[in-house]
Amino acid sequence: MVILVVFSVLPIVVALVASFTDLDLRGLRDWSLIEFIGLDNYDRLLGDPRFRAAAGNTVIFVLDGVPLIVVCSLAAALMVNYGSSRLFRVYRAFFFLPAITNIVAVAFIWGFLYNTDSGLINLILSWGGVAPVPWLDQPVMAKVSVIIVAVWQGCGYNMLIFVAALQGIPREFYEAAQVDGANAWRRFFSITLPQLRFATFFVAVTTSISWIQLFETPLVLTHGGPLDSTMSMALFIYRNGFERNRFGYGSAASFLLFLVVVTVTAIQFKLRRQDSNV
Amino acid sequence: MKRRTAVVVALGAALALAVSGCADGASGDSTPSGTSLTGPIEVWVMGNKGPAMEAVAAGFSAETGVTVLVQAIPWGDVRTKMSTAIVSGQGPDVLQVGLDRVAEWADAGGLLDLTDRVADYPELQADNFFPASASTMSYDGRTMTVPWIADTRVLFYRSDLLEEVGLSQPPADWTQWQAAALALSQRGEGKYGMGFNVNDVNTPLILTWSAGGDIEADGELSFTSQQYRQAVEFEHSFFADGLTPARALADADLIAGFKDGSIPMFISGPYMTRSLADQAPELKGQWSVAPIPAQQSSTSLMAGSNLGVFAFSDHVDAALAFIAYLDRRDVQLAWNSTTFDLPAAQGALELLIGDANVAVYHQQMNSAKPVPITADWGAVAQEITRASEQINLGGMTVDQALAELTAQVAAI
Repeated sequence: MVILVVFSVLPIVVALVASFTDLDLRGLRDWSLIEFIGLDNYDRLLGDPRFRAAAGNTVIFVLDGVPLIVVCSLAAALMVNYGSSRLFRVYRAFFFLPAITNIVAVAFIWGFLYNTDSGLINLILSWGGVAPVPWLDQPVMAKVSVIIVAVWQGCGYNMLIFVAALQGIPREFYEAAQVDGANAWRRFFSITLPQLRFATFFVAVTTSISWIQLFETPLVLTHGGPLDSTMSMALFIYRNGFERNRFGYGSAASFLLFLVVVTVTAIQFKLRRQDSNV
Repeated sequence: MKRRTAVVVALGAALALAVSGCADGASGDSTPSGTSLTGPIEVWVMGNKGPAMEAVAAGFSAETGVTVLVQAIPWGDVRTKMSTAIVSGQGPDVLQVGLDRVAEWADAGGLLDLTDRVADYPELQADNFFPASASTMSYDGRTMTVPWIADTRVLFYRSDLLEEVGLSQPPADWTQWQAAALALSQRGEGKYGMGFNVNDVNTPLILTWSAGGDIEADGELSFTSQQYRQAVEFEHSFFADGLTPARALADADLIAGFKDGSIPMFISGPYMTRSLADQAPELKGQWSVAPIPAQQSSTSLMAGSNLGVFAFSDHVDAALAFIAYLDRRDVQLAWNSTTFDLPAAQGALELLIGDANVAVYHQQMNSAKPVPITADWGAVAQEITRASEQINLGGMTVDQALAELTAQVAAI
């Protein structure tokens, strides 16, 4: 309990208090310089076009990323669950590898792959006669590139959750369906998907939370550019708080982000409860 | 067994005597008051220069008996480490400070005021350094840091490719610059004339200075001058005419483009000399450096690093003695020979201008200017790069971008 308060509740309270002040680097050293400015930070935040752009980007990231993760990790889970030979175990390890690889290294390597002139991806595309794609140099493309990397990295972990859930589905269901003459598609939609309902919900919630806070991938890959097209809310907080030492302003933004996470999670749980009551 | 222990103890005692004797003897030279120096001191050096600093510091320890602990801080972590140090009061004794951060750390109270102390050290006098370096020593009328490494920006060019298009000389003014880039870009598909960056902070500054203007007047920053507009418009013309790739070019891209000839000219600093020697040795003799082409003058950026004493240092005397040691001519030369960093001490740099490249750097530094010494420079720099990105990539008009830049800087 003490640990929960010290490491979880206290930082939130501190951030909340700091968000009502003009705290900066000098203020941290000499507390007498800190002034309470009420809701000014929030007022400015909501009027800051960059914050709104970051919020908009985050919405796009979540709306694209979460469905993609659910679909990709489920597809991967079905594939590796198809057999149990050594080959499938190798596949499983292969899909899981991105999830346990350091994000900085991942983004660094992807940065090389994405390079417009010398990247491997454009080289391969050029064999097919495709003109160089500006993966990270153009606002829309950069957003796509960041989503690709984050999906690629997020799939492995969620695949494991789906694999575990798949293995928990009683075999008898399938046998009975087969006897009734249901084909593979029918079996998938009538047995597998409904049985995976809780796993899907879990994956959707955890992925939403982590994508709302998407941070390292754009930080290392694009630093939020070009033209702030990959600036997520978390990256906005980092750049204001730690690159510009505007701790008060950053705290206000992070408290808003915290509220968003709580709200989204609450809504999802609510939906889930309604769903299971039906 | 016992005898061996005795020998070790005796050796240790002898060594201790030797070291302390050394310290007594040398401290008289390094500190004016003749007091013996106490350590150990901790030094923060940025980037990958840790081993080089350890090697140089060993010489200081031998002379003074003061132990020097070296910590290398990755450039990306500098701000966080420094903020933590300032807040907690726990930090190094001596630290390397980039010229664009001097004012920020001084303003935040991280640096010790050295105004009354530098006079004691002949190595730390302002007139040892280039005027532009010397001007970075003071913030708010107080001496906060001392120059250490000098760095500037010049034009790198592939002399063989210029000759191919009939140019025996690098461009000396803006008209020639544009003409050279145009000729070079007409060599064929995928060939550019220049390697500008869509969001560089230094290029607009260098071009503004070279157009005879400045972004700072009477301590106020302004982006409304005719020259600043001229600078961003000139830079943008390269993007608009397709003379440079419309991207944020990393150093690796510049080196690759220089190698395959697609980017035959770009602006960079002395560190690039080293990178090209390491990564493109086959180009040796096919490239050279030239001063920034002039509009009114050829005025480049004075960059580099200064050294400061951490505000909460317990060993100020030893810290200052170490800084003075690092600025001593022989140590500056030794540092240059291992790291290729150029010495900020003018006298030391002049000994190196036998090298044709260094001669150009030296010439450029004579008239170079540092970034404005203001605490908010980090934030201002972000706004400058943002405005450039809007113009060069986002298609915003120069008018609109500069108006936005002025408004954003005013709000900082």
